[in-house]
Amino acid sequence: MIFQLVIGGTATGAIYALMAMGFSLLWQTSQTINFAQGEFVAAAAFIMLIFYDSLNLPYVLSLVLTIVVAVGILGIIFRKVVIERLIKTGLLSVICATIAVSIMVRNSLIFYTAESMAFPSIVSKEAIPLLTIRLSPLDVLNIALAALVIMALQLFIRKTKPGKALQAVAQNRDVAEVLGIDVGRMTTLAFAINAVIVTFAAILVAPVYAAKYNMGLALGLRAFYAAIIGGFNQTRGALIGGLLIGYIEVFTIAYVTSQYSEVVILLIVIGVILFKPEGIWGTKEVWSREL
Amino acid sequence: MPMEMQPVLKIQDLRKNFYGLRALDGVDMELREKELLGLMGPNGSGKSTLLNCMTGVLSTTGGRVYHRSRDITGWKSSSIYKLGIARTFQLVQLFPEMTVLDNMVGAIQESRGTMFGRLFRFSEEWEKAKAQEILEFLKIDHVKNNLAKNLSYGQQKLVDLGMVLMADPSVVLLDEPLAGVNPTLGREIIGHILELVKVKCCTVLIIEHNAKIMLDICDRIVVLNEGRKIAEGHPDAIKQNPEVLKAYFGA
Amino acid sequence: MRVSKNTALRSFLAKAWKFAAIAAVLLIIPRFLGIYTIYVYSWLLVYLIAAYGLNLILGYAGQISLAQAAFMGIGAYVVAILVTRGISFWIALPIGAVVSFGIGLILGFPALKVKHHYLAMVTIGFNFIMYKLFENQEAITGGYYGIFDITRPSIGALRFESDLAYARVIAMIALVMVIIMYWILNTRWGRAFKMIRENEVRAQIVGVDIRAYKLIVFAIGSAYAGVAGGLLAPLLGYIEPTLFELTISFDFLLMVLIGGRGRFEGPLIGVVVVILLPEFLRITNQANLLIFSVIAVVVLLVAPEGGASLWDWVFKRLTGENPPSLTK
Repeated sequence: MIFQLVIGGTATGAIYALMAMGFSLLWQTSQTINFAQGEFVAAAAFIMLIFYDSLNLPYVLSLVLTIVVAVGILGIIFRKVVIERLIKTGLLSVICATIAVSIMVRNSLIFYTAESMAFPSIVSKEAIPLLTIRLSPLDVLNIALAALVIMALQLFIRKTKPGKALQAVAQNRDVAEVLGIDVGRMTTLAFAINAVIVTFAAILVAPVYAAKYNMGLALGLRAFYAAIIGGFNQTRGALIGGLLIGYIEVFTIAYVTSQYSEVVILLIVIGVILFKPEGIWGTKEVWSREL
Repeated sequence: MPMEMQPVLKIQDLRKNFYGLRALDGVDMELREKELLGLMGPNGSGKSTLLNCMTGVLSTTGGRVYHRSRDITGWKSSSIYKLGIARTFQLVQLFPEMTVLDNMVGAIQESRGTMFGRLFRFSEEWEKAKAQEILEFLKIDHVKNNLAKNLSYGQQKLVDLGMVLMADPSVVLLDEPLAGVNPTLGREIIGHILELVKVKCCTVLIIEHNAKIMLDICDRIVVLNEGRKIAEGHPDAIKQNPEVLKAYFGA
Repeated sequence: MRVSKNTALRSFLAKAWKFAAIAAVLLIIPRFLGIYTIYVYSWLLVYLIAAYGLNLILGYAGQISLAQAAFMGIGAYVVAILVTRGISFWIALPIGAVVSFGIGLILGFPALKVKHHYLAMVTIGFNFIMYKLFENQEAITGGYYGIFDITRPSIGALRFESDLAYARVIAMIALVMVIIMYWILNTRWGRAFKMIRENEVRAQIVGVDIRAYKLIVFAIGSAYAGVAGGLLAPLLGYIEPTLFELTISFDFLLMVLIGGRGRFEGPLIGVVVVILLPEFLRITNQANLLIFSVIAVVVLLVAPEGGASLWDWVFKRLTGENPPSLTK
């Protein structure tokens, strides 16, 4: 039973971890808090459905096209039109704008359909009995795929040239600029990567929970919790935070009341905010107000 | 020590560490009554840090700060402000979306009266008159109803100075008042500073990079390098001090 | 000093005329509205109060609160519970306001420690937790189904039972709340709030007690939402948890953004757009929210001052001068 919960928690947590890492990437490279992260996942899920269901394209092709569209709209256009303009006005404006964008996305999805849409799954959703436990292939796939994406991301950041440049920008924007790195392009790259991440998160979460216009809110909040608990400014923190939230969620539903399970998570999040705002694995932000 | 000889501000063995970096490494300094003291030193020598520690903006890692005979080490910046010690900022710190007049009145509205009393304060004639007077003194009263963010950089610097003057401070600490300012405006500002010392009898400390001007107008100079004081004295002596030359030009 | 007291008094009297005129208009309008429109009118005024509360917190003091809906809920449930147990509305409403004030004060404490997205998160958390409490504490709140049979107020023999009468009650209370807000913002408190919003570090240096002002702003802003909720309960005659969920807090944010944060006319513009537009367009709720959110984003990108700046632009075009600001 516990093992089953751990698998379930890891699978759920992996999705939150993915989303939180994208979140953290945007924060580190451009001081953007994307309140619409959850809605982006929902949008990606629906875009995928358009290609797969309505246009009847094969799964992999749909996925590729979704990634392209996501990068275009949720990555580049979002960055150029919304974020770039508002970043100079201050974080508060960015937050307000991304909240408005999230409402915008959520309510435009409903025009496609207000119903819950079944989402294609690569593997069967039936649990396979293995020894004494029932293993869900979907959970296993989630964990495997998420791990793959995360590893690919880490490889990209560490080994490739643009990846290293991105890392430089994330750590110290001004120094990176002095070193000749095109900070603007790197930021766009970060937004593009986030778009890819949310697309993968979408294909992982939608088969389990179905795609509905309001799926984004809960997901987005979870990613936020994960980033807060784990630490915004360290991708490692976001990863661990995501997994933690997954476990807490699964275990509180199983052992404590399911009605108040989110409350438990929230209290932990608020506790972290008030007592260790940089997150358990994050580093203290130097709010540079040069006087 | 007789009253007149007691320094207005005294810093004893002041230390400040930033994550292991020793920004201030045991600095002793005095600011004497009614003098114009210049604080100089190459970039990164700790001048602004010293000012920030003195005014409660940064916490100190060691040492003490005295105002006359009172130990004000670790005091909050608002308390230090209420003692009559005011400062300007290297990067102008105004309230951008408020008018210049609002900026000026805002600078002193909290220094008197109670929180609750402020809810019932309807007339601000006195404060506005005073702001008008200072703005005229600084020759920028024509922009008094403009939003602070719409002013030119030079005008903003003057407003910054004006806000400081609203509080009738006895000690004024200026952090690079001439930075980014054209020579004409710079001369004006120097004129105002000299008036402050000679006419209004304030004690003034300036941090500035422009060595020529500093050596010209200051009564005394203190030179910092790498968080330590390396020279102190009359400008003529400083001019020839080998340590100072080495710090600036690497001999 | 005596001279200035007289001028202050004179300017107050001059304004009193305007307030009386506005009051008269507000009382007369519902007379000519149909049953449904009176309802919209009342709803608009109720939301207006809560929006003014949020504008104070977000627009003037620069603190983010996504918990206005929760405070509406607190005010609503307090009034609902007390009124259904026989206590007069006129006592229940102030109690609701005081309770909201107190809890808002508590919510202000996190605002002292954290900012921006962290504060947003805490307020979101608070809203969510309150919602869950409303939903699950059946004994007190009626749980999922809420509370019914909330009667409308009366003074002695005078009963404000009808939609028309109660609309007028709401209108008068709303006017009083707006006048109080106008007063607060035009005193030194208003300037202190702005100083905190504009440059907190400098504000602190010149002696602004940041802690006290932030707490007050949260307390007052939340109390406003509480009053709105208290008025809502008898308006609908019933209340239930979904009226106060997180998305409603987001709606309030949209209203303040569309109207313009930190502008006195902002909430009025924002609420009118958000509540009246759907009535004219007569489309589904989701489409409305889509339009508002698009408007909000466009406003933020193009005219950060909000709809109020659009009015500025029109005024300037017509008269060639800058319009007078309603607050300092």
